[in-house]
Amino acid sequence: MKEEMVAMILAGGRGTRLKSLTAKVAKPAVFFGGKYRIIDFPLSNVANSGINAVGVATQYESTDLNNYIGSGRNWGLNGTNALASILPPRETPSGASWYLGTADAIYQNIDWLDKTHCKYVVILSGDHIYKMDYSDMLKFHKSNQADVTIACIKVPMAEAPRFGIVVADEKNLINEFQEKPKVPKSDYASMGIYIFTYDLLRKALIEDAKDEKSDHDFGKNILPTLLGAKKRLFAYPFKGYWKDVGTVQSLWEANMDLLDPNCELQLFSSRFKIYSADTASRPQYIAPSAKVEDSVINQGAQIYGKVIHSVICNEAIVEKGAKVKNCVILPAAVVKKGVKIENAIIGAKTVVSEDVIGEIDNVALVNAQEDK
Amino acid sequence: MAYKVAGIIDCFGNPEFGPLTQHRPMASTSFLGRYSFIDFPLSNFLNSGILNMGILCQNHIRSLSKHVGNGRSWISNTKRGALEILYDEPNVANPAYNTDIADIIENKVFFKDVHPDYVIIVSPNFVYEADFSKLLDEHVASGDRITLLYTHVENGLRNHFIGADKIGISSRGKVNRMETNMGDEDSGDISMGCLILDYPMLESLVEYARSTSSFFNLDDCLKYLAPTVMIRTAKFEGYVRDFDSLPHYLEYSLELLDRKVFDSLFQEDWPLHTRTYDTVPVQCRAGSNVTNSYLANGSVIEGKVTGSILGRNVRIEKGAEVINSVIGNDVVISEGTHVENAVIDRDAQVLHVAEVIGSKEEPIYIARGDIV
Repeated sequence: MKEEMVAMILAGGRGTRLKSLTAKVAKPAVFFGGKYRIIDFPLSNVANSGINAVGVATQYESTDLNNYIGSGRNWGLNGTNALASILPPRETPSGASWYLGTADAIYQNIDWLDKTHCKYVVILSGDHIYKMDYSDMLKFHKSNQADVTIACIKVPMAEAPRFGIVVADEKNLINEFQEKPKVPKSDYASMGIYIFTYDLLRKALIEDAKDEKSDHDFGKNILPTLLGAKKRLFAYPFKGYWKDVGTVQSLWEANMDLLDPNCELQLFSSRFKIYSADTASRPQYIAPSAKVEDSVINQGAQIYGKVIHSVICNEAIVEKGAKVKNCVILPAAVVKKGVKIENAIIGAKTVVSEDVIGEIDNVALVNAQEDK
Repeated sequence: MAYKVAGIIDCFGNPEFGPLTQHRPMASTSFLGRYSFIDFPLSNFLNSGILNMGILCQNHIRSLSKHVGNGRSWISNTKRGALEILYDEPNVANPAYNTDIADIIENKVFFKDVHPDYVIIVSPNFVYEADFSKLLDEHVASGDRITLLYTHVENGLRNHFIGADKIGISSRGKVNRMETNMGDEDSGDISMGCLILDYPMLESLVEYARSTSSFFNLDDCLKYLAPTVMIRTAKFEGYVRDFDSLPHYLEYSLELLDRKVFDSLFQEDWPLHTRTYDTVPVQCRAGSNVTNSYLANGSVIEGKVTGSILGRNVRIEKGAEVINSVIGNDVVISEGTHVENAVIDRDAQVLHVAEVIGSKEEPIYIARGDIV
């Protein structure tokens, strides 16, 4: 196999701040937008960018996620000359170790990358919601003769300390990189999407692996080291929707964003489709007693009650007289008769028989997983 | 299933829905928004553990092959199983000679490859869910060579199952008479166009048909033989409809809006599989008013929809009203228009006229891609 650019998706994280939603599944497998899982976004982006080989590094509660990725069929990544590999940590002649950090997850799969004979690698997170054509980013990388290109987005200055912050000149050449700085020097945030020229990445990973003091992390170790070695790091300016859905609140907000017909994500546009697994669901049923407004309803859902400004997943049921407002109802959850829920996420297969009222800036989470 | 079984879908002589089946066989015509009729027999076969399926295709192969593709949606093991479209190329331009018998002869290599012990032949116009593994076990236990599946209709033969085969049943449970239902009696037993037989028996039926008339199809053959050959009957107790005309297409589709009827057709733990299109969930925008309807993914609703079935990617604009209608994929119902008792074929647009109104007995039909 010989590919110009291959993709590596870091999908091993737990996502503790998603609370019980990630009790049994890794964060990339969390449901989003009525019919998707978060990892559908990077995987569809990979497919839509014309990339034929992708490795997905998984670690935390990986069974469901690994099953979901399978052969890559749902994203068309199982075609001739295509390769979708699930890459959990493994034992080798030199021993066995968990992935110690983002960089280590790639380092432990250098053999996989070598076999693809790639020139470039795009490294992605498995937990961001956005649409992006990485082939445009590769063009940018090549025309700048860059060693590393980091996709960057403007964020509100107040939020900048949460991100890796980039200081770049007018030609997008990066002068400084600050990982989660207390005093950010710019509002230009790394999206955790990197294109590396592979030869350079390979050397950097091997060096980093030898360093016992390193956290083996791209943001904390690899990028600052390369910058210090005067390598050419460029910031690729991304305009559009991008959201890290790391918390219950941000997951809810990203779902609510979809209800705005002008949402920049353009999830509903037929261009640059997001692919997902088929669920063999029945058609959506909206009963005579139902009232549905300003909502996104996936196949298999049954609505008998009132649904306002909400996202309803497949096989979810809103019974008669129930009132659902500003909510995200995950697959096969049931909102019982007469129950009122507001500003909440209801976990998969959860039966809600009592009112749940969250606040817009502090949404409620009710999840059957909590009881187990 | 201990036996090797070939599941055969006979698309010869299926009823036509006027202009709706001008470009497609009845089998791949849209049903309940997200399905095609052929999804029922294919899913019945899959759920019954049948691995090898053949579709006897009379004409319009494009539409059929597009829907079933490589059959992957209905095959549980793609190495051991296969779905093939059996097409009688030499006779397609020769309607009198283009019979299911001729098609079986033309495609005898299919039967040679599959080498079935038993063959189950079904007609896609009869919509029902049945476990063929159970029916086959009963057939084998009976020691009879042919089993015919039938439904008893207490009242309704004057208006329903017109053109289907009415059978007489002897005291020993065998078919002693078979004739076309002309609606002269209101009660009786109707053949569901489903035969279970051993493969040598199918071969002798084909041979008999060939030696009798080149124009003979399987159904003619059975009618001829019914009084003399032992045909065992098996009574089917569930929901079954014969979709036999355009008015009935609308009537039976809308009848499923009654959830009792729906639940009698759609059995639990009996998933109905179809081709996936990766369409986004439905958007019911602010100001929309949907009640008593089935929707399919990809649709955007801003107007009023009641008592209707929408296909994929349908757009109902502001102030538009859709009542008691079946709307095909990718249809646009424009601002302020009123659609009632209509069947609107895919890609059509109701744009210039204020009203498209038919009656239940004579639904108005708008052809594929038409702009009115």
